[in-house]
Amino acid sequence: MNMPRAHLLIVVAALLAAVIGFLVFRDAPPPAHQAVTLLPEPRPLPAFALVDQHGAPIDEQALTGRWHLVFFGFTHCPDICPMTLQTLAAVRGRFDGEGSRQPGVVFVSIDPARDGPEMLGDYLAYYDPDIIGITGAEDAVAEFARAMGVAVVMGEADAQGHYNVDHTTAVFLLDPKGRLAGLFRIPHRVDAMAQDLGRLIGSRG
Amino acid sequence: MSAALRAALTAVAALQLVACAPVPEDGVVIEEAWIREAPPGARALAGYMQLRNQGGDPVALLFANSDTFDRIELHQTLHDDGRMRMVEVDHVPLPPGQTVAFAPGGLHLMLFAPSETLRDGEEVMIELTFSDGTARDLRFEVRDVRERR
Repeated sequence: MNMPRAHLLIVVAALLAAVIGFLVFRDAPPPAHQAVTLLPEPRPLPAFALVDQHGAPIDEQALTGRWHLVFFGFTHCPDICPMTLQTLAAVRGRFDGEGSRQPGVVFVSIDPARDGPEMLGDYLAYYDPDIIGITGAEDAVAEFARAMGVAVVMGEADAQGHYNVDHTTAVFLLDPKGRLAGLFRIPHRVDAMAQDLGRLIGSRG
Repeated sequence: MSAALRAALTAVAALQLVACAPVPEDGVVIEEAWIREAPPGARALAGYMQLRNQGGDPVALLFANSDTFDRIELHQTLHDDGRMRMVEVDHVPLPPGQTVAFAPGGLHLMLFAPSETLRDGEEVMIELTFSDGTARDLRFEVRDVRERR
């Protein structure tokens, strides 16, 4: 093959690539979120009247003014709950110094019988003292979890009184109006979550 | 592979050799034994490790005991349909030639009621009992694995 023909082939190939590229990408949507599943429309958060880790009353109005990440768990959970709290604290840390752009983290105990405010406070402070802990009367917590669609199954206590609580692992995302905007399913990865949040906060915060 | 990476991997391999040196050739090799540091007052901790059965016969991990904890159970975290369940398993099979990992989000030693608050860098002895009648005392290192902010 002589040189001019080779050149021609390269030019044709390049043109073809350009045309295909144009056809494929001209209608491409903006880059998709990696980790979050957004609801088509944000939904109001179910009303609740519970207490925080300082024993002060807290309701849904407290979860406004910034984006919040909400996780349901319990302190006697040694594997998934620490992993998730660690991840959420790290995600929050990525927004240090950004004022109201920094998302809040909320941990709702689905085991209020064992997780009183003091226990919850000590536990959460280890990960980040700014995490909002929520506990309260057992029936009120159960009602809030149910309204959020969180499946909670209390296990049978063994001879030593220990029991497990099976629960939903999704992390809920609230917008600054305190509405349920979406959720993060497992696996929870710091980079992907922080990137999605950065985009959402930038566009709607 | 860069020279630096090769050197680092060699160093890691050497460390692992040291860590499991006194293990019989055909026994169960246990590596990376660690306990997740927990918040103060936490009543349940998780222990992780990797077990490799170097022998030709299947064996199983049956029990774990330690003076540092009230009680230890073998647990498995299961995920189904967005829900997390933690179940106790009766034993953990270790097929010949395979590695079984106790790792976050899966199998773990459920460590109940530590006698003291365990801090990063501390070591705890845990005895593992196997189905072939052998028992091994294993050193677990407590690790703080929070991401620094």
